[in-house]
Amino acid sequence: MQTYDAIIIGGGPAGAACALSLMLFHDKKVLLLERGDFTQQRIGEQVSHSIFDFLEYLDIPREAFGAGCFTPNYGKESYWGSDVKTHHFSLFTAQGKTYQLDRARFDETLLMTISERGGTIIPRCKQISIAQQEGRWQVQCVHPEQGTLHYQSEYLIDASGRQTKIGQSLGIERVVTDQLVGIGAFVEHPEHIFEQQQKIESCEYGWWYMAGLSKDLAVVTCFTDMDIMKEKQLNRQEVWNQCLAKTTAIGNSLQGCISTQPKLWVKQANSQYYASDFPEKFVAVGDAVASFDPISSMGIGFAMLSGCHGAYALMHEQKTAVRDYQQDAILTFDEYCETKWDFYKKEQRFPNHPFWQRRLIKPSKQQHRVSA
Amino acid sequence: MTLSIHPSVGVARLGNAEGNNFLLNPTKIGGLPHEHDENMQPTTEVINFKDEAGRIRRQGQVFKVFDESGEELTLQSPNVERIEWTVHLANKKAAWYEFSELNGNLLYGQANSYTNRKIQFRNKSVGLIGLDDYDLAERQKLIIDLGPRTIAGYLSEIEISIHNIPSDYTHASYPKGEMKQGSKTFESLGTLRTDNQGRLIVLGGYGFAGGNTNLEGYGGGDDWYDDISDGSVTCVVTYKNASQMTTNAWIVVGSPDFAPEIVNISTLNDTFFDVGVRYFNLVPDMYGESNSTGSGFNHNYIANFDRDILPIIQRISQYQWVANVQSMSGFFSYQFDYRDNSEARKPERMKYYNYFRQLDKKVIGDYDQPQQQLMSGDSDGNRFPMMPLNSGSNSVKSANAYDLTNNVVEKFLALDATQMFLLKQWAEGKFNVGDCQAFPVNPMDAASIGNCVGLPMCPGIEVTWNLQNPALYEDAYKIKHRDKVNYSQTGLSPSRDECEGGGCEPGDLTKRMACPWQADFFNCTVQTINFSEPKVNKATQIETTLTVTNHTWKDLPDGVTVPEDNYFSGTQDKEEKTPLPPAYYSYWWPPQSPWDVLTGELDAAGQLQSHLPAGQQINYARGINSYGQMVGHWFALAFIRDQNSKNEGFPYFTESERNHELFEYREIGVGQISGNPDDNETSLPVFFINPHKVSSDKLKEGLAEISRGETERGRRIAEYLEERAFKPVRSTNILHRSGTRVRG
Ligand SMILES: Cc1cc2nc3c(=O)[nH]c(=O)nc-3n(C[C@H](O)[C@H](O)[C@H](O)COP(=O)(O)OP(=O)(O)OC[C@H]3O[C@@H](n4cnc5c(N)ncnc54)[C@H](O)[C@@H]3O)c2cc1C
Repeated sequence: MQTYDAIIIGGGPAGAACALSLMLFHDKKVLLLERGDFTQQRIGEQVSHSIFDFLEYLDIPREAFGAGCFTPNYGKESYWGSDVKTHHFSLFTAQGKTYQLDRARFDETLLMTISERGGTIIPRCKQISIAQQEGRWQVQCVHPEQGTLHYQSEYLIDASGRQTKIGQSLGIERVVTDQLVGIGAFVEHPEHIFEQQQKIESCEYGWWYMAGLSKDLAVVTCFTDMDIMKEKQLNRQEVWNQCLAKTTAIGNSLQGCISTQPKLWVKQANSQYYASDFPEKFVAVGDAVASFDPISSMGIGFAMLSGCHGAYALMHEQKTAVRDYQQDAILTFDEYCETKWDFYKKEQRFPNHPFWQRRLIKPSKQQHRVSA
Repeated sequence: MTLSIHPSVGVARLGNAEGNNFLLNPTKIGGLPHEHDENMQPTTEVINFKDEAGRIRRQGQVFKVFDESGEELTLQSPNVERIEWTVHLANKKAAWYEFSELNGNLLYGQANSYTNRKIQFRNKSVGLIGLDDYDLAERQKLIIDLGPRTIAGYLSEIEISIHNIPSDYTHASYPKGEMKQGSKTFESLGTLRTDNQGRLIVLGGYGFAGGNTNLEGYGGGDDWYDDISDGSVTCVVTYKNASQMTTNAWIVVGSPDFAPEIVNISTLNDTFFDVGVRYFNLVPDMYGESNSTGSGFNHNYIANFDRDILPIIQRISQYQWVANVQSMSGFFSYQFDYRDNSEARKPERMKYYNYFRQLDKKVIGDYDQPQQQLMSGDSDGNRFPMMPLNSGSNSVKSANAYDLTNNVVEKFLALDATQMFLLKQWAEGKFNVGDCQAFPVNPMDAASIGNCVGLPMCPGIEVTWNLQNPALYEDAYKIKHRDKVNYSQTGLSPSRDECEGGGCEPGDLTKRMACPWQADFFNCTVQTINFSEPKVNKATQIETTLTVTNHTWKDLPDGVTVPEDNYFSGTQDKEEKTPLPPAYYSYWWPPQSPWDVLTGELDAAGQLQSHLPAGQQINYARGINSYGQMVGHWFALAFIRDQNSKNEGFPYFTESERNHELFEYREIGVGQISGNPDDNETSLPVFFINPHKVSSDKLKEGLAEISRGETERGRRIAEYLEERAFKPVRSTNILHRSGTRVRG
C-alpha cells in the first residue's frame, strides 16, 4: 500500500490550495484524489482581489495562469428591490475591485502546479471510503482502469465541496441553513455581445444572474429554493426559458442566444457548515467546511483561504489549532449570515413569496457546537 | 582513369529537430556548419543550431565526386548521364565487446587482442550457447542494420528507416518494441538527399537512445541502443557513352559538436595524416624508406611554422574557453618569437619543445614511459605540467596487480608521432615561415575529420583507436572497404575484428564507442589522474572503521590489580574504485565535451531565465545530474560560440542557445549541510531538472491549441495526471551513480 503524509479528497480550489500549502511550507508528500475527470464545466467565477494574495502566498506567479485567466470587472448592473438599474462593483460587500476567472484554467493551473512540484493527483476516483486505524488514515477508492486502490496517510483533508459525504461518514454534524439551488446554462451569441456584461435581477421566486465569460459565451443562472424549483419545474428547459423571458433586463439582453449544452445544469448553492469537532489529524476546507450563497461571491476566495489556513492549522504543534480554525470558519459564517440578511432585506416587493419570506427572518447566531 | 570522392571520410552529426530542418557540414577545421537554400547549397554560417522548440538541428555531410584531374563531376557535367550514390549505415555497438580502454588494440600486438585479454561482449548473455561459445546469428541481431539505400538525381530524398528496408536485404535487424528507458521506439538511422547537382548529402540519426537497464558506467549499458552509425558510401557515375565508373568513401555519424570552432589539439585529421605519413608514403620527403636519413622520419625535413606548428599551439591556447587550463593558455604567450628560426633562438625553442611530453612506445609491460609523467621537473621552481595537459588514452584502469603484461596504462596525452616530429624540426630550427607547399591532402578530407577527436581515445566521441591502425586503410585517408561480400546474403559480422585486416564493414568505426553515446558524454569530461605511480590509475579504496574495546576494573581494594585487556575490531564499510592520490585534475576532450565555460546571456530576460550574469565561468553541464538526464536532455546544452568571430585573433567564446527553461535553480546555504545557520551566508548555486515540469510543459504546449470550455482539455489533463500517478518517472531515483563527476 502506498503511503503519503496527507491525502486530500477533492480537487477544487480548496483542495488544491491545501495541497500546495502542505508541500510548500511543510514539505509534505501529498496525494489528491478527485472524483471527476476535469471534463465537467466548473461553475463560479467572480472573485475579489484577495485571490492574488493567496497566489502569492502559494508562490504561483500570475503569468502561470496564462493571459486572460483574470479579467477585471467594470461593475454589475443590478435590478434588486426595484426595476431601476443600479450600478455597483460588488453587490454583497465592499470588496473593491473584482475579477472574473476563467475557472477551468484556474483550477487546472493549480492542479498542474501540484503535479509539477511533485504532488500526486489521481482523477476518476469513485466510491471513496475512509477509516482511521491506529492513528493512520486508510483510504480506499475505485478507479475505472486501476481497480480498487488503497492508500494510507497521517493526515486527511476533506475538500470535497458542498456535497461532501466525508463528514457524514465520520459523524461530524453539518448545519444546513437553506435549500438554494442554481439552475443554469451556458449560452452563445453569434454577435459577440457579452464582454464585460454582468446582470443580476430579483424576481418573486428568487433571482437571475448572467455573466459574460468571453465575447461570445455567457452563463445564465436562476437561483431559487429546491422545493420551489420542483414545484415550478424550473429545471425543465421550457419552463426555465419562459421564466427567463419574463425577466425585465436579463431576458432582453439574451435575445438571439443559443445554449451550448442540451441540458440545464442544477447545482446546490445552499449555505451550510460543519458544526461539531473534527477527528484528530483531519481538517475540512472550502465548501466542505462552510459554503455560502453565490450572491456573496465568497466561495472561491474562502476556498483558497481555508485551504491555506486549514493546512497551517493541521500542521501546527498546538492541538487546539484545528479547533481555532474551525471556530474562525463558523465566525465567518455568522458574519456572512448577517450580511446576507441585510442584502436580501433590500428586496421588499415580494413579501408573500416563500423564497423571500425565508430570507427576511433575522438570523440567530449559530450555536457553536465545536468545543471551545 | 579513376574517380575519387571528397571528403573521403565524411562526418554527419545527429540532431532531434525535425528531419528537414538541418545544417550542412563546416568546410574547414574549426569552421561553423552552414545554412542551406532550397537547392541544398550552403549559404551563410549557421544562424541557430537549434529550432524554435530548442531541439538540435542535424548536420549533414555533402559528398562530391571528382575525376582524375580534380574536376568535379555533377549532373551538369557534359559527359555525365547519371550519378548514383549508395550508402550503407550500421550501428554494431550492441554486438561488439565491452569498451575496455586499450585492451583489444592490436597496435600493441596480438597478445592484446580481445580474446587474449578475455574481454566480454556487450550483451554477453545474448546468443551464448556454451562456455565462451556464441551463436553468431543471434549476435548479429544486436546490430542495427537496415541495409543499403540508393539515391540519384536532383533534389531527391530517401529515409534509412525500418519501413523501407530493401526487400532483398535478408539480414536487416534493429531494436524492436518499446524501450523502458530513454527514447521509446527506434525508426531510422538517417536520411539521404541529393542537391540540385546530384551531390550526396548524408544526414544521420535523430538522437534515439533507448534501453532497458539502468546506465551505470561511461561505456553505456546492456540492452541499450542509439542511432549513431557509420558505413560505406559508393558512387557509380554513368557517362553519356554508357560506361560506368565506381568509387567509394566512408561516412561517420557523430553526436553534436557543441563547440565547433574549438579544435582538438590532436584531431582525427592529425591521426589520418600520421597514418598516411608513416604507413602510406603520403609525404615521402618527410617519412620514407629512402630519404636522406634512412628509413623513418627525415631529420632534414624542413617544416613550416604556419602550416605545422602554429595550429598546435593555437589549439592549446583555445582550450581555455571550455576548460580551466591556465597553464595551457599561458603557454601561448609569445615568450619569444616563435617564428624566428635563428640558431640564437634555439635554446628557447628547445625549452618550449621539451615541455611537450614524448610518446610512449606501444609495448606491453613497460610502465615507466613518458606519458605516465605529469610535471616537467621535480625541484622547487621547476614544475610545469607537461603539454598537452590532458588525459591520455588510459588514465582509468591500472596495470594488473599480478600480471603487469595484462594491461596498458597511458595516463597523460602526447601529440601523435608526426606532430611531435614536426615540432622537433621547428625546435631545431629546421623550419621556414609564411607560404609553403600544402600537403597532398584534399582540404575537404581534412575539414570533415579535422573536427573530430583524434586523441585521447578512451574511447573518444566520434570514433576511436582502430583508426590509428594502418590495417583499416587502403591508402592515406582512404578507408578500406571489406571486399567481395554480399551483405544482402550474409548480413554484417557481429564479431569480426577489422584491425586484423580485410577492410571495414559498416558499423566498424563506431562500434567501440559508448552505447548510448550520452553515457560517455555525461561521464567523461574530467578525470583526476594519479601521477606518482606509473602502473596505477584507479585503485580500490577500502574504508574501515576500527573500534577499540577496553576492559578495565574498578571498585577493587588497594593492591588488587587485574591486567588491562583490550582488543580491536574492524568493520569494513565501503569499497570503491578511486583514483589513487596524489592525482591531477585533467580533461578528456573539452572541445567536444566542454566543462568550464562562460555564460553569455546579454539581455535581462535571458539572465533572469538562466539565473546567472554574463561572463561567469560555470559548469557547462549544470543541471544534468545523471546518465538518464543526459539521455533525455542532451539537446538542452549550450553551443559554445565565438561572439567575435568576425574579428580573427580576438576570440570571445560564450554559451549560446542553452535551453534555460528546462532547469530550475536554487541557492543552497552551506548551513543546510553543516547544520550551522551562520554558514548560510555562503551559498552554492544548484541547477536541476524538475521531471514533472518537463512533461507538464509538453502537455501545456498541446493544450494551448485547444480553446476554452472544451472537454478535450480536461481529458488530456486527467490522462497526464494519471500517467504521473501510476507510472512514477524513472529519472527521479532509479538511475544511480556515485555522485562525483569522475569516471565511474
Ligand atoms: C451556481 C454557483 C455559482 C457560484 N458562483 C460563485 C462566484 O461567482 N464566485 C465564487 O467565489 N464562488 C462561487 N460559487 C461557489 C464556488 O464555486 C465554490 O465555493 C468553490 O468552488 C468551492 O471550492 P471547493 O474546492 O471547496 O469545492 P469544489 O470546487 O466544489 O470542489 C470539490 C471537488 O471535490 C470533488 N469531490 C466531491 N466529492 C468527492 C468524493 N467523494 N471523492 C472525490 N472527489 C470528490 C468534486 O468533484 C470537486 O472537484 C458558486 C457556486 C455555485 C453553485
